[in-house]
Amino acid sequence: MANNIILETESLSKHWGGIKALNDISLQFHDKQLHGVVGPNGAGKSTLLNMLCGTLKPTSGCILHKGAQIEGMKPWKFVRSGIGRSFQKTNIYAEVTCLENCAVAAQRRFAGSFNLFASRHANKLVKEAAEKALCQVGLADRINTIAAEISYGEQRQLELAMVLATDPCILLLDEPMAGMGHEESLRIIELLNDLKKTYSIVLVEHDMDAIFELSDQLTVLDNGTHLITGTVDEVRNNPRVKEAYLGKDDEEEAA
Amino acid sequence: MIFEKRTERIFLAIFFLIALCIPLFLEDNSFFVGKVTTILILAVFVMSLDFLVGRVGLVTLGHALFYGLGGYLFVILTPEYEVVNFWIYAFYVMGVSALIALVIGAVVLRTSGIYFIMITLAISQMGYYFFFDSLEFGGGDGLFIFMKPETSIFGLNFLNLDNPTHFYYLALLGVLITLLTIKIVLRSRFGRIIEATRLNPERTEALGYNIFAFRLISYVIGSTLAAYAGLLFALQYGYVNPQFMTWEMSGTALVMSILGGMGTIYGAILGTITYEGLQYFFEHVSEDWKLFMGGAIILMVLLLRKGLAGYLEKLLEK
Amino acid sequence: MSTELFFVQLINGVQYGLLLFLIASGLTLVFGVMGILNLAHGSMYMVGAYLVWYFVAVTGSFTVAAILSAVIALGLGILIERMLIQRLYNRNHLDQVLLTIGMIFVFNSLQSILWGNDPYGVAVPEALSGSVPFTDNSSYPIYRIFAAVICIAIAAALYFLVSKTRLGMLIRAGESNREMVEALGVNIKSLYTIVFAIGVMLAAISGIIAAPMSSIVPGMGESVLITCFVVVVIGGMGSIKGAFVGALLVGIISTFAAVLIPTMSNMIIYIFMILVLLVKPQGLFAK
Repeated sequence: MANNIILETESLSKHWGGIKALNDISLQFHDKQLHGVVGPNGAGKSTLLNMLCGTLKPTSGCILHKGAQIEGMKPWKFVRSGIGRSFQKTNIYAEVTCLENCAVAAQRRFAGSFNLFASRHANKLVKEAAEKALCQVGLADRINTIAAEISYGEQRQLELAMVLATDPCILLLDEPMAGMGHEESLRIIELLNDLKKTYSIVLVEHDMDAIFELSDQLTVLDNGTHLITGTVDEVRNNPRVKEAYLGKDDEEEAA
Repeated sequence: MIFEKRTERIFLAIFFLIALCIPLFLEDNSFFVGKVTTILILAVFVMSLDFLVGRVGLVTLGHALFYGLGGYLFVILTPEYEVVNFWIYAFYVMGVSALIALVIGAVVLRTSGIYFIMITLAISQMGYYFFFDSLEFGGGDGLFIFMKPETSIFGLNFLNLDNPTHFYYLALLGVLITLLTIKIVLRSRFGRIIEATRLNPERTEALGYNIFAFRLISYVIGSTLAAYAGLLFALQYGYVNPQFMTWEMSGTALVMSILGGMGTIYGAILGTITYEGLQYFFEHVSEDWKLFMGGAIILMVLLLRKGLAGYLEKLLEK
Repeated sequence: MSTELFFVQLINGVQYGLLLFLIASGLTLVFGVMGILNLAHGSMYMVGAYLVWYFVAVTGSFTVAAILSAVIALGLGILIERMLIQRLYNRNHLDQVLLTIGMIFVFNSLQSILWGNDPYGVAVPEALSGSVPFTDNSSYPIYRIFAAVICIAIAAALYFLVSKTRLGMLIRAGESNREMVEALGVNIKSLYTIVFAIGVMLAAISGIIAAPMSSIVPGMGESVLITCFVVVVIGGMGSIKGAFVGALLVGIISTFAAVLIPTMSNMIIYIFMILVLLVKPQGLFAK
């Protein structure tokens, strides 16, 4: 697959004192592909995502975005350059409407946010982008509902909508299906299948069915090291992967 | 619409109606006119604090620093025995205050939470001691304003600040402009991000916003408005001294804001009036009004969680 | 400045710092374990000082007065925690600030009502009066040495408590993970009451010790509180070790500043605090 490389890491490492959370990780994330990242607990998946979106600074190694090194930048600049991230723990603006949630996300694209006078409701483009994102994830009927009042699964969808509203080129998704029931998960899987036609997606998930169905490429991390990256079949049949999961029960769907 | 809540519209309508007419009822009593003028000036101060604490989410215990600076800067910038133009010098005072707020803000906004509370307190203490220990700025006695400025606009005479009733209307104008300014800013695109930063700073940063910059600008706005209030107070009484900048002043303003209902902005007006009213009442009942006030504050924190505005809104909003 | 003067000021600074540590450690302990910023902490210092003054006047004995004052302060601390502080546990910093400001108002009024607003003094107890000859020309007051020794003893006891006892272990655990401590079946409510009471005692005892060395005046609680804030911010909120280092630094710097640059001496510790925060926004020993 010769799609463009949107995001790339070279020998990325993160040490906390003596603990190596991530060691020498070199990965490539391509455009219009869904790249799954799996591994047992403590493998370093969240650490990886945190570094890819700028929240954590690597101890060594570099991160390249469309060829340019970005690992030293402030987190908000990561987002501006097109890297969108959704959180594992639902992180939305609970007290306002879903529309407003996405409007905050979208505003940066269309209008100067340092404008002290223009009413926030005046800009149609912001509203349209917010509504579009909400429709994309299937929350069209929740546009004017307060975010705290929608179901947990819907909040995860809102989380996704907010990322989409920023019009990123790559989506870093941290367990978007955490805590979802079966039906809700199917909806998300369908959505992601659709989204990967347009965006590059990095998906960290414990839901193995979803991972196997969606991933064009799959990376397995274990204890901070990079075990293997390959197609789903290649990875499933790899002995080292089996060993890493040996003794652990099949990863259950997150409760 | 900048006044979205029914309670807000009702309160403000009643307030401005009464406020416009009050001097007619207090015609001869310059003492009372002075008292209500002071309440209005304090309301401006408290509104600016409510903006910072309640809407931007910056809990500062050092807001009074700028209140004092408003007065001191006027005396410092104004030639001593000259009658200057109020609008021009208010502009200067606010301009310099804004610059000072920019510098201070750039330092203190690197901290957050508890540290922010404490460092803002310490800085205002520093300011207090700076002026208290200084000889050039009058030390503990402060400085005096001998000549009130004139308020002509483009040569047309406007208000005579030596007249208590005229001064009252200047203060009322200040309340109106502060209220409108804050409301417009909050409703703006900038305000949307400010609200987002207050609700969930992590999320807002993750959406690509430089929240430091947003907070800094808000800090400058809030502090400049406080300086304007301090300027008015200094002009009303003709002096400024370090007592303007004590932590008690900051703390009292915070109490007024919470009493009224933090974050509502109109609550700040309500809270100021109520606090001053309570103090007036308690003072006449007993010398130890602070005891009752302290008790009232404690009860209020425990029982009236959203302040008076919150209570009213529960009654009036559907 | 002569070497003599230097050493005297150094010892003064250390002694002042030790006293500050006592007060600051109470503040930082309560915040570290319970998450409560108690603005009325300075009031407890004031209460200790006023109580000991009052009881010395009544009983004539500093020792008796000190013990009585400490016991009353302990009772007061427990009462406050049970009736008021307990309701603050899940509320935000703003509510804590407000409630404790309300408490300051109440304490200050009570002080004014019970004891009036004149400045008072407590005589140095007979047994500890007088000075120890230091060099040919100067001597150092015995009471100040005593005060420093007491502070060190209490600091050592605090260290022992926190690092070697079961209660101390709970305190340290509670600092990092409240839920875990609760899950261990520990009665968190009792732990908090004990911790708050310790905090109050530390402040009150400092007030008792300081009484013979300073003027007992209205507002003394708040001025010490703000110095405490500086100490704790410099040291790192929640860190007792930080409070120790911060207190000594503040004590020494402000003592020397008072001698070397009297016109700016009040401001100097704030400038120092700002400098520290510019380099280490969470304080020197942040958790």
